Amino acid sequence: MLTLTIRTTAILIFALLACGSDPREGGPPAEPVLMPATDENPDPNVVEISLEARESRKRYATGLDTAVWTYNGSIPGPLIEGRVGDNLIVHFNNELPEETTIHWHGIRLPAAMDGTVAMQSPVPPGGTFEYEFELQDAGLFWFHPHVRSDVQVEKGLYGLIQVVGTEEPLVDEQRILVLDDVRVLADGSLPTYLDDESKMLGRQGNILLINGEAMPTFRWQAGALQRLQIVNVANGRFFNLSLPGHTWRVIGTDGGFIPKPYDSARLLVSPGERYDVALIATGEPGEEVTLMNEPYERGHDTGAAPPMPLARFVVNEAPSLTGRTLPTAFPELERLPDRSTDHEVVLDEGILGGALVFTINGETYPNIPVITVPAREVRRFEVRNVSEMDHPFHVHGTFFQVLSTNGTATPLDALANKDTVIVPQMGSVELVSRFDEPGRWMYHCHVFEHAEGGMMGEIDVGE
Amino acid sequence: MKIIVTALAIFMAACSSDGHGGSDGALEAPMLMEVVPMQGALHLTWMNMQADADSVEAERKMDTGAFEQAFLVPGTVDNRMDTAAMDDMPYTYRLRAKKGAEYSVFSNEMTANPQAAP
Repeated sequence: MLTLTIRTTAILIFALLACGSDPREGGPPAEPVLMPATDENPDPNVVEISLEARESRKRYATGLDTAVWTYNGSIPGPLIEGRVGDNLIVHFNNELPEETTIHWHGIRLPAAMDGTVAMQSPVPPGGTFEYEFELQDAGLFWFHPHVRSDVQVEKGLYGLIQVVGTEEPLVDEQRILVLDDVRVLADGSLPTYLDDESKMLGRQGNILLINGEAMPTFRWQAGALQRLQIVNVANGRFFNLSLPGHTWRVIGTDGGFIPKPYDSARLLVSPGERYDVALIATGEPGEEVTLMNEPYERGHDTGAAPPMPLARFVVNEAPSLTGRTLPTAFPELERLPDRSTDHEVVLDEGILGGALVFTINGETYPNIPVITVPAREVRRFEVRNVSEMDHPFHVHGTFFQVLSTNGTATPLDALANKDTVIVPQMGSVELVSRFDEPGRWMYHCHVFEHAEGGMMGEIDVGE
Repeated sequence: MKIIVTALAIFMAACSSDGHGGSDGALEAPMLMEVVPMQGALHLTWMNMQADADSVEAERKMDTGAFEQAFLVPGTVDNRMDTAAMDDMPYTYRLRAKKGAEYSVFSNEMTANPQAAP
């Protein structure tokens, strides 16, 4: 792992610096913003959009064209913007050469709209499907295929949904940061062969991306209250973010705001997770600070990697603002009732028939017994990870609350609604969730290669 | 030390080679970087010095036996878990690049025991 990560970093640095692609040359580059989806419906309570999955080309930091798959031609795909209570209608058209679906990560919705093969036949090439559901919760969510997700997301199929609620903080500047990476070969192509290291760690790229761009520059105002909504859409890479001279004030996560924001020097974001943070930009005009991905040991010597630069934040020429304060509280969340453990989920990895596999309770999907839950009932899960690496555990269609990690109880004032949580290597997480919507729901490791390699199961919620 | 070796390999690959063979036109051998126990098998990591190789061939010998082919992977791949090497004994590896009918010389050799404590 050590050699790979060092080599990866070197390639990245070489691509960005040695090849003369420093974006500061020739004037400031445009900030990589997300393109909003076009709302085709005049009803203010309906967001109606068209999404097409299709082949395209993108130029990453290599300077060569790369054949990619996109939603509406861009990576990331379009940003869907709505408000709590809006009805979202998506007319989906598959122009890819293979079948696909759209899964709405983190959204609470009817199971038939969740875009998994447990509830929906994949959309064939040339086929269409109409997704429709209500946006129930405020926050940042995202969408991606749930068919061959390791390949289809790596090729570029992902997009964002931003849902605004009634408790949004007043800030001076607000951005969405979509964290990703991509491995581009010397000829500009994406690898078609899944090597064993990529199976084990999930595909990790040689180019780090924010909003689809390598080492972008963001310009912000000193003294301004900044809000960053961050999502990790990478297949396997964990991002451990630091911004020298600044501290993250964490104000929300997967399922919206948290009652008691907290400060952290590092922000660890595993694949699938979202964090909502606030901070006050500091510095003199022209001063820049580099957003870094710091080493994190998630298993198999991944912590030996050197820090990797992600983006530049440069103070603009506007006069410094004063008097801004960070948010300190948000409305209380409903605490789900505690109960004794209903279901044990054991995550492991191993070799079966000469192949690397990832298991739940000793089996691989689809051979894992289905968990059954009556509708609207609360269930407590103990998720034990007996493997040598962390697994980001994701549950579809509902939020859960973490009761403990490695036996240490979550403080009462640290309540949060999550849909993805890191289960530490050789560790455990206890969580509680209520299953309101009937149907079949997936749960899985959000390292896509692990899910596709077997670490995925189903929860059957009765009527 | 490994960092220095890797950096040197990167420098050689990026700067001193055009990726189309050595100065005499011969294929350049990969550089075997690491052989470590993983999941009861052995995981190999290497640096490809021949950018346009069709494939990389690995040979393995068990203990004091003779080398024989362990696996063949595309030329852009730089790692592999050898799930056939799971017994408690030393396994030694060497690699070579292949392009068409042409082979490079063999790489450096590395030895590890899959049952050794990490």
